[in-house]
Amino acid sequence: MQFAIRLKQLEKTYSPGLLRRPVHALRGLDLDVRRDELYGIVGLNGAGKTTAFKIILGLLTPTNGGGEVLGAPLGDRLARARLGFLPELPAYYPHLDGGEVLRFARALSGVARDDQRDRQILESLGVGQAYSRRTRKLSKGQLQRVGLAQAIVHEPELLILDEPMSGLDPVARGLVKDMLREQRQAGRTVVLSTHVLTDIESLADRVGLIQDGALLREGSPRELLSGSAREVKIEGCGVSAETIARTLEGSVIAAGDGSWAVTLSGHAALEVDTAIRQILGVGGEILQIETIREDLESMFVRSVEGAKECA
Amino acid sequence: MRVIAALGWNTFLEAIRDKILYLLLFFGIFLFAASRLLAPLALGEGRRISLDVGLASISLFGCLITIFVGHQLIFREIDQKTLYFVFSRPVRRVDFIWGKFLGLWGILAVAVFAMGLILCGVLAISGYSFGWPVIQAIGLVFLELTVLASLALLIASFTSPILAGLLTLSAYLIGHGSGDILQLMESLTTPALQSVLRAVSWIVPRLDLYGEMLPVLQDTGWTAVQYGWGIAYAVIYATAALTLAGVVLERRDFHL
Repeated sequence: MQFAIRLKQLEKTYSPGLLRRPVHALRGLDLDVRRDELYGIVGLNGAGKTTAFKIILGLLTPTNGGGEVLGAPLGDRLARARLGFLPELPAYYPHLDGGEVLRFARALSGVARDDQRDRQILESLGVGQAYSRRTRKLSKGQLQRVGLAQAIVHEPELLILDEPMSGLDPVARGLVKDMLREQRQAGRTVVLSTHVLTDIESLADRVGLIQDGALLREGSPRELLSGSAREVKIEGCGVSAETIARTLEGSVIAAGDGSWAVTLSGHAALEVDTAIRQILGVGGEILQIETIREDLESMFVRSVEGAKECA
Repeated sequence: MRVIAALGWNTFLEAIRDKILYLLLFFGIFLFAASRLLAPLALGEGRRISLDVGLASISLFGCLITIFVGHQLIFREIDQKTLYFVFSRPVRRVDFIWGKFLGLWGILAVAVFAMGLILCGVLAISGYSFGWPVIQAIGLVFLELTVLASLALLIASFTSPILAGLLTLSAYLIGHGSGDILQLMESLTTPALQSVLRAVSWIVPRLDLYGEMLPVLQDTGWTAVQYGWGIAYAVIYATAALTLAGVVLERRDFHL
């Protein structure tokens, strides 16, 4: 299997000064991102996502551990020619307009100037007007999309995007998600970190949860949620709500027309078959069964809280 | 080379679109006007006063441009987080330094050229002769600023903007007295002190090489050999300073 990024026991400790405690930003981070996949990195603020990105780019040297990016050592100059990066809170030269930013990006990446293509990219992201407008006059959302444009202008094999949805309105988010899907379909590897977990759930092939500088959990959104907590709601009639409440472990709501709804959660939610047998056994009739799965966001919060309790 | 040119052009554009450059040029013009006012008081030495004040102004304002623009070149990239934009691409840190230098050099070339034109204009209006030696002298000021700009970037690569500005200004002032350091070294009898001064003379830029006024006042000009030494020193010093700045930057972590 080919990997776009491999991080092995990556550690980074910042030493802020003589009288201050060192800060452990990464504590043995292991991360494998396969080629051609869209990998989502999720973590709280300060979990180590941006530090990991900086090490991949060569802006920081790891205290321990190492890895590879596109088959080359971390920070390798030639590998950087094949990747595109969008920083969190992107900042570009305020004296340049959007078109000049993309031209400058092309020059630094060793790619030929192509003004027409630059215009197209900006227009596809809904910021065509930024082409001839100084970046200091752009809104945060517009700047974010110029940032995405500069990351893809040289058609890199690997895209690393730190919070690409930050500051975007719903329409712009839709455009960016479309762009990410296009990049993925074009065979590019995309690594993105985000706090908007519903986005990552619908986009990512695999997700890694980072907590305190280490990988907490990893897998496809389906895998991560398969063993997660869920609720099962059963609606029925034929017997009284009180009978159901005595028979099952769950919260029962009685409706005025003699029907009822019972919600099973936790361990009981995994024993649905038993519950159905018990309902039928007391003479009940089942009208509807609905499974309510936990989303990635609740799973993430639960995982992080669980990790804190263990610590 | 394309990367260096792109970085240089961006640096140049940033400074040209920055109002501080125009402010310094305004002060340059102001000082030349002052030399015109002083000329009648000079008792027949009006040309000398005009040339002295004019060339010194070009040097001083060039130094101020170097300090105001140069000391921020690296810090601003860190502060504005634009280093992400540069170093997420295949850019060597030494190329980044050379690109920044190229931009600063271009700004100084434009400023020195503009101030040189004004000086020639002042001399022409005053009816004083000026020829090749004056142009040579302006060229030497540019070489002096080339040396200073490279040193400013070296200092800026490892320290804060304020300290970088102060150290560059100090280097400019000490550099003009570097000939005196060498004379002092020759007059000393203690070998240890001589060694210390020799080491200092290697670090401090020999800006006194570019400040000699006699050839321009006597209209004799500099010989090709004298000028060649001036160019060679500037090239060697700037290359060494920028290479060292590249090494310093290469070893630096960027906590953006």
